[in-house]
Amino acid sequence: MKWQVIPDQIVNCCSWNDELVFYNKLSGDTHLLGSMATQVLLELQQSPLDMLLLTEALAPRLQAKTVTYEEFSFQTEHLLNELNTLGLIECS
Amino acid sequence: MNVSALTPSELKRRLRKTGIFLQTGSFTTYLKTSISCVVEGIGLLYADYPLVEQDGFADFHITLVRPRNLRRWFKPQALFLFDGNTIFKPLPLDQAFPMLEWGLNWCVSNHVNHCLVIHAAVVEKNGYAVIMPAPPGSGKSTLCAALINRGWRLLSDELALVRVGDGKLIPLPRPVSLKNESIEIIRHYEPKAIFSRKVADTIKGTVAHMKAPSDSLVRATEVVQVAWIIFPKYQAGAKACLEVLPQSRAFMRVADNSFNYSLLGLSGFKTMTNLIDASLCYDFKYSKLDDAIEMFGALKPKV
Repeated sequence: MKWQVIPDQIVNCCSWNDELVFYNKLSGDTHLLGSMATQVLLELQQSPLDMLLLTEALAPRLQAKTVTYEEFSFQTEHLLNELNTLGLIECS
Repeated sequence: MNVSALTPSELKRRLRKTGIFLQTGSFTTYLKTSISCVVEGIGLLYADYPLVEQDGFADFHITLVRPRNLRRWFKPQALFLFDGNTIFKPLPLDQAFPMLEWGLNWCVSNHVNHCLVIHAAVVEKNGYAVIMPAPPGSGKSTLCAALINRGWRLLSDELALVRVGDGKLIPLPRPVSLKNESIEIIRHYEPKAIFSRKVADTIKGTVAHMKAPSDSLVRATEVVQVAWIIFPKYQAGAKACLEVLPQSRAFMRVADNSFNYSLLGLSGFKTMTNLIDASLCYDFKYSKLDDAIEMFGALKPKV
């Protein structure tokens, strides 16, 4: 199962430094996304990825030294679910 | 013709009989009242505003009346009518002028949807504007009053109007609302400033309004480019300090201070995005007005 950004939604995003402000035109809500969520979106924008490949791609850049790979993988999964709930990404 | 061209008795007669069409920035307000403290406030603080002699068009139709109830004999009240309809609960009669000012703000913040309307003071110097959004009690109006008495142009002390489309700021120079200790602070800061009389025990405490500088009124149709968004915060004893605010955070805070961001939907988001892109954003703490003026004077716009 691969995750991909929803093109219609991603156009309503603005990025400043490492954070991103996203306007969901379906709900009318605006969300501030932190740096990890922003990295996930940028990664998925390049190409759809499954959870495993995404975690592997992000870990070298974002995995904190105090966090195990399993914990980081869990964080990524949680984040994907959040972004899916916000209507920014979907399963292909 | 400005309000000051009318004698006090002629102004009183017109306000009572036919009403007046008052030009405030881009908006025309039709106002009718026989309440003497409102007549007095208009004569004093709106003396330099143009009267529009026209065929009856106005953006807002306002009447301030004394309700015809039993209270009129022992605790008289004032009622604000918009298009002939009651909008707010009546207030004590001596609060009628502040009520007019609050009501005018309500008219703009609830009806002007060709602009992104932000609860903020706006001042300008050398072609660049500072938007100062802040919750009540942050010292926004006090700082705004000080700045406009030291060479900055007043666009508004209450409502930043960002035009959807080109992002330019539309001026709405009206009297500056000051409350509690701020009234005496600004009186001492600029002894020549003209104030309405103090009104005590309002929902905001004691309030008074300061007349907008004449130069700001002359330039009331000149739109301006934003350069800075600064969140002011008065803090006793604090050294004046500007702290860079990430633009993403500024976006969310300005949206929180906007009246119609959600209403405007995607065009609100785009207008806000352009506004934030064009601005340098800061948090600003201060305790001394002179230090604040100096720091604002040294601001440099984005290259």
